[in-house]
Amino acid sequence: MSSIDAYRRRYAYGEDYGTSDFKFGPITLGEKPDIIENRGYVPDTSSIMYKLMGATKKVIVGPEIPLYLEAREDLAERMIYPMRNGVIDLNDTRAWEVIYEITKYGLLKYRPKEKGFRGFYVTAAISIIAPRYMYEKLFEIHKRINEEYGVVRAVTIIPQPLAVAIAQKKTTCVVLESGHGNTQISPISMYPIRRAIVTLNRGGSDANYIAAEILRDLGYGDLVQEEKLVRMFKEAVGLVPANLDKAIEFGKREKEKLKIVFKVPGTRIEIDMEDQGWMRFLIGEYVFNPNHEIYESYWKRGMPRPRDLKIGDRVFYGMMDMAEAVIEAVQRTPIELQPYLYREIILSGGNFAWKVPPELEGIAVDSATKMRIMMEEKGIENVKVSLTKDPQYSVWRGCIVYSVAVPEDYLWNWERMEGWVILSRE
Amino acid sequence: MTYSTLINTLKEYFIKRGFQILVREETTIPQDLLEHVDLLFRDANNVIAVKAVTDILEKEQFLASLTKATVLREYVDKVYIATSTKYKPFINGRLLSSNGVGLLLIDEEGNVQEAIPPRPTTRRTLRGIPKEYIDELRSLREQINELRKGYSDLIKEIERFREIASEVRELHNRILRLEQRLRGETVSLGKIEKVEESLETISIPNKEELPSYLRDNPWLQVLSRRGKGR
Repeated sequence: MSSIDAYRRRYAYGEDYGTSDFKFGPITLGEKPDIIENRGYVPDTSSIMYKLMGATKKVIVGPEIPLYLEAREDLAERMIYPMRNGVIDLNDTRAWEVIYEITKYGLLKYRPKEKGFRGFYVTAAISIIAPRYMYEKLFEIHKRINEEYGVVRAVTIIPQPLAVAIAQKKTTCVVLESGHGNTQISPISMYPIRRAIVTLNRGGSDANYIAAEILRDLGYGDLVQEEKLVRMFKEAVGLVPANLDKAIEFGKREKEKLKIVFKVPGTRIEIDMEDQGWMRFLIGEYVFNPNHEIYESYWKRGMPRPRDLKIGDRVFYGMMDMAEAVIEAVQRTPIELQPYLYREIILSGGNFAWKVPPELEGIAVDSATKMRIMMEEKGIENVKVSLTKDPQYSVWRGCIVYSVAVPEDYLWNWERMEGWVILSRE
Repeated sequence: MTYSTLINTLKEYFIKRGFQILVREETTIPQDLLEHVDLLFRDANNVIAVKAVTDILEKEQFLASLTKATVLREYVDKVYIATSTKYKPFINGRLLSSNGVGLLLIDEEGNVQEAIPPRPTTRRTLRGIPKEYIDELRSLREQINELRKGYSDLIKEIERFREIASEVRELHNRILRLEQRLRGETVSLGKIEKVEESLETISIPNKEELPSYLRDNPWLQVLSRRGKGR
């Protein structure tokens, strides 16, 4: 371990631009990064609150946001989640301004006071499907922050699935990264195998849609406009069934076991599911396989159906189930490699963090078990599926390892999409 | 002119010129084409095939013989059509020349005249590859297959060794931790000066100081080799 550069041992820095949260911080934070929501609020400059706070910022990020929030009606318009689908439009200036602000927020929060500090070695992680201009924009943002505050010595950008594999210490594996808008299935063998990546046009937001429909059915239609509330409801009540038909049958028979009352934290709102607890299984199943006929009725009443989408050369499959997508990705890799890839399937991202209440064991399962069941149903054996330990932190941890290990003279190259961009040579 | 007279005359003609008669098995001509060959000779390294035509009643018959003779050029160096002089009017000499097939005319006295010389073939693909080369290629192919299998087994073995190495590293760490604990024990036995010395050396970054995700992470080695040849 003496080979680790002593400087980087102190000043390696990671940034995970997740769809919902921005995880950031230097290596010295240890096991867990700092977290703020990956969002920014554009305040109404004429509002009393804005004037009272004496603010001059166009975009507010981090823990200050709640202080500026105004009426719930214009929340959706003024609150910007820039990485909602993992990709930001080139010309979405407000979204890029949010990225600039959260990046700066993190780097300045942990700017060391020591004399020897010459800037962080920053590794940023973004979606593997991010187009080239996103890399260029992120480099620009770091350059700008460094010019303003001198806090970045070198910066590089890696795809999130690679960071997950690094944090999990697996050099050959398949990483399923399920974010807000889509799910990326990325085979990795020392490098990401980019030609084998399969992307699903389905992610946490689709589970949110189902959760919102369930809220409507329960009589809370007025709350579904607030995305954060819907997400909290989904995370609190959603379950993944081992088998949907059997789970629904069980849920309708054993109503007591599925009863749940969701209390919105910090408010007096309580959502009681009463006898409709069986619907909890619909949320989790939808993430893994939306092909069950029960979802037809939701689509008919206007819930968006996951559709195939073509962006550039890449097709984002809407209805492909998760196991099929893994097989599709692995089959695009060399045959010799395939058995090793099936042996290490890593599930990462908040969209796989489903709880299993003890009284529902066997009926409800965790994501790894669900994937194993689905793979076995398709005849793939010797499958090892694991959930990332501390899924929220694994991308950031991978970034830190990357910052520490990659040699400084390995400079950025657009063909291989790797290496450092040196911003300061002092 | 009978078939046997024609064949005997041709044999005599070629043997006189130092050619050696070949049996069919000595050539690489496919079985289905052999029936269109009446005589085979060797002249040094060249193989010559002769198609004897006893009677030509119409031009189509000649054309059929020519077509088969042309196909034979794929497998031998020279091809002749041999027939009686009296059928000369049925024969299209230009067609023979353009296809590279030679013509031998035999008169009633048994005189053989090379009316059109054959053009030696350049395509000797099948005949050109000696049997020993083919055998060697086969043997090499088998060796490659064996090597492939060996490689695949080797990969599995390497994977197994990696797992073992990872376990060894884990054990090594445990030993380190135990060693440190033992050093701690010596403190309680009163060897305070000694322990202070060892505490000073811990300021050098070591495994125990690193976060869990950096400890024994094979990626550290993989990534540190970036840029030093893939």
